[in-house]
Amino acid sequence: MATPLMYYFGHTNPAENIPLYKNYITNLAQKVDLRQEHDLNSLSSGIIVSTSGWIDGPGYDTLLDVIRLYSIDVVIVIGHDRLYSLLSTHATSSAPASSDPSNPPLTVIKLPKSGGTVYRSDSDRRRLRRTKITEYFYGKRSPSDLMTSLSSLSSATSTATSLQSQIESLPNRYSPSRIDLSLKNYNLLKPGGIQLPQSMMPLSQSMEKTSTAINELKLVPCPLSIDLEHAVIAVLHGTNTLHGVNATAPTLVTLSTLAESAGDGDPLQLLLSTNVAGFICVVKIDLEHDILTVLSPCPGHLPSTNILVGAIKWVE
Amino acid sequence: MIVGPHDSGKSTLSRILSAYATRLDRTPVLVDLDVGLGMLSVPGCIGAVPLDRNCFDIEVIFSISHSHFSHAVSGQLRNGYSSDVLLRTHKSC
Repeated sequence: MATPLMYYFGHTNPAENIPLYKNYITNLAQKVDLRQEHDLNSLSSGIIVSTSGWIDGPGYDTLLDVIRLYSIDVVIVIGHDRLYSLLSTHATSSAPASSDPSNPPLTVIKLPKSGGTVYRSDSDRRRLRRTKITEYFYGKRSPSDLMTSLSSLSSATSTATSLQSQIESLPNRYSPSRIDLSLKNYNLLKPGGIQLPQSMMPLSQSMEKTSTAINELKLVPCPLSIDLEHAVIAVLHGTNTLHGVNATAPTLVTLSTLAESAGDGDPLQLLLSTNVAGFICVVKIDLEHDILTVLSPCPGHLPSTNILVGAIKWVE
Repeated sequence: MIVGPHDSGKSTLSRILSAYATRLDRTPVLVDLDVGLGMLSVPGCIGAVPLDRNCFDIEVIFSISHSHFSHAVSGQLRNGYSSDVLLRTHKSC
């Protein structure tokens, strides 16, 4: 069972930072291609891409990008006629003359929405997201665990609330630990540069000329503030990838050191294409001593010193 | 690729197709681009995972290991997806 390759976008809506979303999709496509090049079984089995529900405006353009990047040959449209017609016209209009393996002819299939689907309200979604993060840190309670534990608990009460509390009193599968991070040892980063007001721009430039794409893709150091409370933070993999036990804490690779080692390349580009090793969540902030207390899946040192802050928060 | 509006059953359909594929002894890669509520990990991220027969547990509907600090759990087995590790492990096959 392989560990998934993840990139942390930080928002629950792709429209909040379109250039960053496109950047991660592109990186993911490159890594998937890389894997499939080396594994014939994987190459013959193909990929299954599941998308978000964002299909209007820039969302549609993103779908076309995904089709191109992942060399998709079958698109299944569920329950949306307009999208089906748009994609069919796109498929027929962009049919390549020669058979190009990276750009196969596109087949668009329409499926009706199944009768079993349930509409989820915003509060349902928020609850589901909270549950997913809880499951990340504490693990899922499997049905067999439930059955063995419930059989040993008292069966006298049968009300729903008491059953709920009995279920909640079951031990969790995983035990996350709280660790203290001293911020002088870590690069706390977040996407999005500073948006300069017009008065601060050089005379010859205007805000329209400087594309916001540059700002939104830029990873900048995130200052420690009370806003970080309950934030879910992604820990990126280390840039020095070594096999073996990581017994000592990784040394802080400052952005300037990264710049030297990357040579001509931009150090932030390196970090934008680094995948996530795991997630931590801020529990307490000590502003005086610059210490973050975080909930981490396992004790000990984090795999690297680069940690990425997003907009997602989780309260235990 | 499966597209559609919210709550149309895209994730469920991709799970069904992955289950069919793995039962036919294929090893597809499941790519989840849903930032809002993904299948693979916490919300707010996108990712990909190669699937095989062992991914589907009878007990749990969809049992996939979450991304965790694999180095701390077993130092030698760095089965994370960093690209040079990828090349090293796959050049051997």
